[in-house]
Amino acid sequence: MAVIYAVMVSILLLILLQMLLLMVALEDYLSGRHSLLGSAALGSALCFGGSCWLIRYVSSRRVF
Amino acid sequence: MEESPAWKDDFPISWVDDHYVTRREFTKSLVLLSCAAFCANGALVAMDLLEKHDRAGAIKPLKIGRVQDLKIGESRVFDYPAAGEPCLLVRLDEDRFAAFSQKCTHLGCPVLYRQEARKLYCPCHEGYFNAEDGKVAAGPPPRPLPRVDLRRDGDEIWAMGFLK
Repeated sequence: MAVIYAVMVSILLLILLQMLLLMVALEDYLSGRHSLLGSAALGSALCFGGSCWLIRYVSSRRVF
Repeated sequence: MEESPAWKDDFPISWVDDHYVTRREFTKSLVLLSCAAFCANGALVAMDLLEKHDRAGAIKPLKIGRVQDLKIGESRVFDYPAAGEPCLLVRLDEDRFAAFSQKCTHLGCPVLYRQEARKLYCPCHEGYFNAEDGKVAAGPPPRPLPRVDLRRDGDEIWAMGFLK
């Protein structure tokens, strides 16, 4: 039972990180600097990849 | 003893079970949210690339008005180098004009000219720019406003591009 909760909290933390990255990217885009957009997108992709890996881990282990 | 109605035998699915969400389903929906955040970041990158592609062509000179269209201290908005990219033309003195991109370098709000202070003012976060050269005078903007290179041809005013 603890595994699914650990995964849920981990994914929530990753989403929080993605929201921060999105905020930084949006501010960068609106200010016209356009210097952090690629890095933020890469970071967001890594977070999404991590979330996918976690859900696959949960599915393969059949944990509830 | 009370008999259950006939429809309950015909439709034996409980609504309570219908709305039950397992932790696994909830976790999957979190992954969808993560995907949406990634897509939003990707969309910003795509928009940036599209803008760069649109700007790749040389900027062409454009007639933006006549000297007599503006009185001293007045300003007017014009689109340059393309539609949807507003710039602000200001008449500073009898013979002096200045033009800048109207997008504040902080978060892109449109700036306005304040004649009494001879400054360009961004109302979103109280940013001020000098109307003479576009440099930041006060507030949060990190960079000067992009300045349009102006040329006078008789009584016509032409935008020739942006000064570096």
